[in-house]
Amino acid sequence: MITDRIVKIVFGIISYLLVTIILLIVGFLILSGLDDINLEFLTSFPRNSMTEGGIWPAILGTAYFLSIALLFSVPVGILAAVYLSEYSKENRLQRLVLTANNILAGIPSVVFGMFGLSLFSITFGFGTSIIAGGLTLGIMSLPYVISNTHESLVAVPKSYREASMALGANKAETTFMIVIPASSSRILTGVIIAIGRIIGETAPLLFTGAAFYITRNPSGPFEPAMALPTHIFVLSAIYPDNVTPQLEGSISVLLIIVVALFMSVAIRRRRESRKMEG
Amino acid sequence: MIEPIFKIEKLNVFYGEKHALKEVTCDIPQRKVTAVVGPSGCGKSTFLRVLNRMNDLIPSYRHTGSVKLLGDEILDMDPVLLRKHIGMVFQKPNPFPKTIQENVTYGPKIHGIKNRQALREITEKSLRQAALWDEVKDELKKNATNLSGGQQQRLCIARALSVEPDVLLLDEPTSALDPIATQKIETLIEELSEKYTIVIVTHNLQQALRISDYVMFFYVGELVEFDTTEKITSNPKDQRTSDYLRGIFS
Repeated sequence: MITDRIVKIVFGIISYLLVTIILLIVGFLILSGLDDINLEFLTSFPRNSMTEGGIWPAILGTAYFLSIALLFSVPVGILAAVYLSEYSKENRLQRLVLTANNILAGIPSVVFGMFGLSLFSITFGFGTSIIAGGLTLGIMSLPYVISNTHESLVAVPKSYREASMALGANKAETTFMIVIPASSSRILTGVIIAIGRIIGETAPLLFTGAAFYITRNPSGPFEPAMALPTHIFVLSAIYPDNVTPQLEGSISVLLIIVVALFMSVAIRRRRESRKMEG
Repeated sequence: MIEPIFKIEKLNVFYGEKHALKEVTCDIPQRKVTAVVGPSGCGKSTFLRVLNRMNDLIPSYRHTGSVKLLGDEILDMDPVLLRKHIGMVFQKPNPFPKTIQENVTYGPKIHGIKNRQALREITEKSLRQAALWDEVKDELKKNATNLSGGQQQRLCIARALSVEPDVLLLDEPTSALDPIATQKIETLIEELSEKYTIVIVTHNLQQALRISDYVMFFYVGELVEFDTTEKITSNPKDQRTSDYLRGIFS
């Protein structure tokens, strides 16, 4: 009895400590930059060697990189997951693909950066550009899209598939008109998770797509762009002894976006599980 | 006997090594209710799923012998076309998580009907046939999963009727329903039997006797007896049938 109680208290302290650490880090960083964020900061270009001005091109650039990444990873990832859950047999090859997918999710992002540099920037000749950086992030987000979509599809009751087949639908009709719509909300949750995972990635973009400092917005996908995480890296690298309001503000903006993304995932998950019960 | 819709000869069904149905030979009469009964694991559901080739979805499945639908061997038919002729309703109500209307129009749509007016007419006709129209006519755009269990099952019947099949296969359609919902479905089955051939698997012997014209009794993969409901109840030929009727095994 006594040991049970001690174990409970010790474990409890450890888990609450975890929450405290997260709250301290996120809270401290968001709060310290909060007073630097205003409309001017969000909508203006950096000035005077990035010691003044705002982060508008970095926000826009992050949106560009994410768009290219998702344009690649969402369709490819969903189709791969559809194959794995609806078409492939449960055999060794399927397990191999799923395992490879998990390994892909665990590869350090700097490795993806080097891969993107070699394939997209050099071999394909995209150079340092939005498209090279976006595709690199796209490949990075692919395993998250695949595994989340696969789980969502597998969770669709077999009885829906049977009902559809019994009406004379073929497999493609069943998959695209019944199974995917029935899991679309969960698939979207998976895509939000993927965005949250790649939005803060710095290393891949440093090699493939990040501009150090630009004074006008890129005119097309073959030009480099600034991004929030690389902007934070650049600011802290060139002014190592000085935490500028620009740096604090940028960190704050990025963290707010990431926290908002994962909170929306938590809310959507709770709503989904409630729907499953009801 | 009335002209058969299915002619089945020496049907043997295997799941891998398991011999699930043995040498089944019978004729299923047209526009009658045929109840398939027998103890758990006797092969009733397997038999039903042979008829619309739903067993084909199971990789280890194969069957031998002949199953003819109105003279055509079902193994030579396109399963999609076959299933258009044969509607199926499952044990647990399984409406799609879509609106009531979309549930009914899904079948016609995949078979190429696009005209909105035609789809509306099919919706009303199918829901009327399934005795559900009056309850849902003002909420066709509502999600079908909000209906009660009995309503969901009648919606599934409407969905099966939407493609104008000749045969309705019912796989224990009332086993998940309360007595009142069950009674509604039974009344509905009687009405539908004027237009459709109905084959119903049921675990409830009383139900089988109430609603069927013919009874098939399966025991461990064998078709023991197949006759009119009246003859089966008054004068079963096989000892196993009379034991089952007296409730010795269920």
